[in-house]
This record gives sequence, structure tokens and C-alpha cells, in this order.
Amino acid sequence: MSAPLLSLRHLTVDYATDRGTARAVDSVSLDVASGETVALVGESGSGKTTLALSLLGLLPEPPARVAPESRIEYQGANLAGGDNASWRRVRGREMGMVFQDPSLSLNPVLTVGSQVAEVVRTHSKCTRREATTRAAELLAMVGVDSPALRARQYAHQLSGGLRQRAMIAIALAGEPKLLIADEPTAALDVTVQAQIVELLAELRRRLGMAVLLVTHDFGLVAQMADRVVVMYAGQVAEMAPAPVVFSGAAHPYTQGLLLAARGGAGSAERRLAAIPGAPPAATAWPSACRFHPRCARAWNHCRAEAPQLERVSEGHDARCWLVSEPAGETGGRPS
Amino acid sequence: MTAGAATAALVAFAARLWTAPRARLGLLLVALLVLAAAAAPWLAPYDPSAQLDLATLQLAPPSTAHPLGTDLFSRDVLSRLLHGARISLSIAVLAVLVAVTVGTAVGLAAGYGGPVLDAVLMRVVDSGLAIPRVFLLLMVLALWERSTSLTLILVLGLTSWFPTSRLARAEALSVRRRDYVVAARALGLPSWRILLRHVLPNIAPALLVSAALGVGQIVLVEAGLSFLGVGVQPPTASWGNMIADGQTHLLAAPWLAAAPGLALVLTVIAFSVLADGLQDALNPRSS
Repeated sequence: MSAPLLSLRHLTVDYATDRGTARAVDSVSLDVASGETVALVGESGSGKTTLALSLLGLLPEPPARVAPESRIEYQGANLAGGDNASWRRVRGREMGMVFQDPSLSLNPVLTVGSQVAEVVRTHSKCTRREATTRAAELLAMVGVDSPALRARQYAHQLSGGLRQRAMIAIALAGEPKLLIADEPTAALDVTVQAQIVELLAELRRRLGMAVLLVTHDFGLVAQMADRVVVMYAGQVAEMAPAPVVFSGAAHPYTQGLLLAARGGAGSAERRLAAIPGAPPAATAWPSACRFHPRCARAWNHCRAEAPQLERVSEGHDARCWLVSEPAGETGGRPS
Repeated sequence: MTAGAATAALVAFAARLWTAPRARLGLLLVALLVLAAAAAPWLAPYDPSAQLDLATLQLAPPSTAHPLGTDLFSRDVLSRLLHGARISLSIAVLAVLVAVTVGTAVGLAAGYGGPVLDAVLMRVVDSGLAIPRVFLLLMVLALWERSTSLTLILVLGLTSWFPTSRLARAEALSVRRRDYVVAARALGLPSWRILLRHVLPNIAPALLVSAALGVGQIVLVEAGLSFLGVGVQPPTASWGNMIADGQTHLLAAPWLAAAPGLALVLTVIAFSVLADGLQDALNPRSS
């Protein structure tokens, strides 16, 4: 494999809160290759959105603070700790971003077309007229009907699906090599979700760009992802090629997420498939293995010592004692 | 935005304003005042500073010829009232323009320019607010050789921007956290562009409301200054100096003070109602 497009090493983000420091992202290392789609999966509060925002230097600092040892390498150059000027060189033209709720991420007082054109003009030297033409082309590319008309409309005049398409057009206006999509379908109707997923998959094929997909929806992962990174409590819990995750997830948390997503045939089974308990708060991660309070398969070792990411097979790592001590589970009980 | 789109947006805005009952009332009242002031030369039956007939028309009570009577110098009070509206309203509107421009610039800089600039600018605003405005105005105007309308506008405007800057800052702080501003940053737009195209238009409604309230307030302050003799100088009519002229004859000719006094009350009410209506019409949560 050639050098990755984006490479995170020991990315750590702390938030200063009233109740002490919250380590929202804890030493996360991962790579995204050119043209690859990586899904970042986890529950609310697992740090995935914080991670996505930190990639473009968008975290409000303070209260957020990216630890000095963190490295965010884009095409080999470290972005972490850079100033606004250095961030602006990558924002939009190298990495584009699509946000969760298009009704909030489009400016209510500007026409959709002018918002696309504005990003076009920021990243390429062209006249106002050329930018307007390009904006309509981009809107057409993301499947907006009668783009010239839609370009003159405001966000509130568009449906949820059209808004998200417009937002994707804006994110693509700088022709980025990596698209960061933070829960791009979470705020949409189920029927529209499928269309947006299809659009993203098609755009990725056509434009050959890499996608970092932040989501908690395994349906989305199944349709798009080449590789899956599962986050729990700010750490990488498991990371594997997508088919491997679906056929043989090693971490009980990943297994739980998959079960919850698939459910069973009946509603009773679906309810049983939920992971017990709630995600922990970032101010007080559980000691040792952070998942042990909610893990059905936890034993003494899980409560005593934090597991490291262990290699399960080539390209497949999991942070669980079951990987290195598969017998521990039975041997350790009862505790 | 092209001129056509701007006009369309303005028309749409006026239409939205018209649907809010309080805004409609405020608009009507303000339109009435502005019309009266603008058409004063045609509406006024006499020249406002002409001394009509010192022998027979001193302090004449209201009659058909002089609906609001005449003053000590036999000048027609209605004519003076209309011309006074012209002076008072234009001074107030221009002063508010100055105040809102300065206040918005300072507020945006404080709200978007980082914590250090914010702290410095807000301490300046705090000290500005700590000095009672009337004393500041009296001092400045007393030092001025002869105050023209321009100095009055500048002095009123430059002492009234503190609350606007607070408001602009608070709004900017909230708007900068909105997703569309974060998205604009994520896509690499330069800061000045985000400020002017994404932040400013979204805080404009709040500023408009405060500007409408500000006009009512400044009309009052200007009247106060003219009453004290440091504002608009006689013989130019202003509501303030008309009340001052009238107070010495309060018992003999109450209409002298009552007419400009009522005009002032009406103006302040009109602009407050308009501000309330704007608030109703512009606040998306209220609809």
C-alpha cells in the first residue's frame, strides 16, 4: 500500500469542563488511503465527532485542547498545532466536510447557489459568472433537479434530502481528495437516507475520493465502507476490513453493535439485542477496560488491567483481552 | 446579490412585517411621522420662524387659522411642530446609524476576534456605559463653540453605541457556534468573508430591533439637550427647544409645551411598537 492520504497518530483531545478534564479522544491512530472509505463507528459520546472536527482544526480551543504529541498527517505533513493559515490550505480543497443536519449547516439567509459558488470562488480563480455556472453543475452532479432554479432558492425552500444534496455539493465545490461525512444521514427520513447513501457511494466511485464516514448506522457501513474503525469511550475498540467486521468481529462491543443493528426477526429479539447500560461520560471513563461495566463477557482481568490493541489477523486489531486470552473468560469466572 | 434580488428580498421582508399585527401598527405610526416630517414644507401652513404679527398674535390660543395656536413671537406652533419633527427625526435616525455602525463593528470584532480582543473591547464598553450619558453629552456640547446638527449627530451617535456593541457581540458569539458558520470554516472560507456574509446577516434582525428602539430613545435625548439649550439652537425649531419656550407660559398658553410633548410621546411609542413588531416578525420562534 502506498503512503496513506491521512494518517492520525496518537490523536488525543481533551475538553476542560467544570467537572475536570474530559479526554474525548484518547490516543487514536488510524490511516485513510487514497480512494478508501473508512467508517468511524460508535455510540454518541464515543468521541467520533470530536475526532472528525479535529481533522480540520475546527474544535473550539479552549475548551478543547489537542494534545501536543498528536499528529494529524495529511499527505505526510503534520497539521496538528498549525495556525489558521495552514488549516485554511487544507480546508475545503483537500478535505471537505458534510455535517449531520443540513437544515443547520446551510445558511438560512443565503441562496443555496451562492453558498456553493462562494466555496468554488474560494478555491479557484474564476469570475462570479463562472462560479455560478459551476455551482449549477455541482448541484446537477449531486442529483438536484432543475439546478438553476434550486440555486436561487433558500435552504428553507428545499426538502431535507435536497438540502443534504446541496450540502454535499458545497463540500465538493473545492474538489477535495477526502470527504469527511459526519452522520450524513442521521437527520433525514429513512427513505431519503437510502438515496443519500447511494449518492455518496456513486460520487466516491466517480470522483475517486477517499471518504471518512462518521456514523452509528451499520447499514450505511455495509453499503459504503472498505474499512471499519469502531470507537468506544474515546479509544479505538476494533479496526478491521468491513467484510471481516461483519463476519467475525472480535470485540464484544462490536458484536453488540452489530446485533443491535441487525436485530432479530421479532421485536422481542431486537430488544434483547441492545447493549445494556449507557455509554460512559468522558470525565470518568471506567478503569481498566472501559467497556467492562457493560460487557457480558468481562472477567477479572478486564476489571484489573486495560487491554491494548492486539492483532487478530492481518489488518484486524481489537482492544480486548479475549484476543490474547480466549480461555480467560471461562477460567476467570466466577468472580 | 444583484439589485433585483435585493429588492425582492426587501419586498418579501416588508410583506412578512405586514403580517405581524404589532409591526403593522408600528409601521403605520412611523410612516405617519416620517411623512409628516418629510412633507413639512408643504403641510405647514406658515413659515416656522416667521413672526406673523407680534401685536395681535402673541400666545394666541388654537383657532382655525392656527390649529395649535401661536407662541410668544407669534410663530405658528403647528408649522414649528412639523418642521421640528423634520429636525428631530433626521438627527435621531442619523445618530442611530452612526451608533449601530460603530456598535456592530466593535461587537463583531469582540465576538469573533478572539478572547483577548473581546476582553479589551468589552472593558472599553463597560467604562463607556459607566459614565452617565447625559453628563457626557452636556460636557461635550458645552465645550463646543456652537453646536451644529452634524456635531449633535456625531456626539449622540458616538455616545450611544455601547449597548449595540454588547448585543452584536452576544449575537456573534452565538452565531459563530452555529453549524453553518462551522461549515463555512470547514470549507476554507476566509474569516472576513464568514464574518460579512454568514455572521452579519444573521445578527442583522437583532440589530434592526435595537436600532428602532434607539431612534425613539435618541429623539428623547435630543429633545432633552435642546430643552437645556445645548442641542438644536433657536430659531431652528426642535421639539426640545419648543418645550423649553413653552414652559415659561405653561399656565397662559399650555398648548406651547403640550403639542411638542405629545409629539415626543407619540414618537417614542411609535418606535417602541415598531421594535416590538420587528421582534415578532423577525424571530423565527415566534411564528
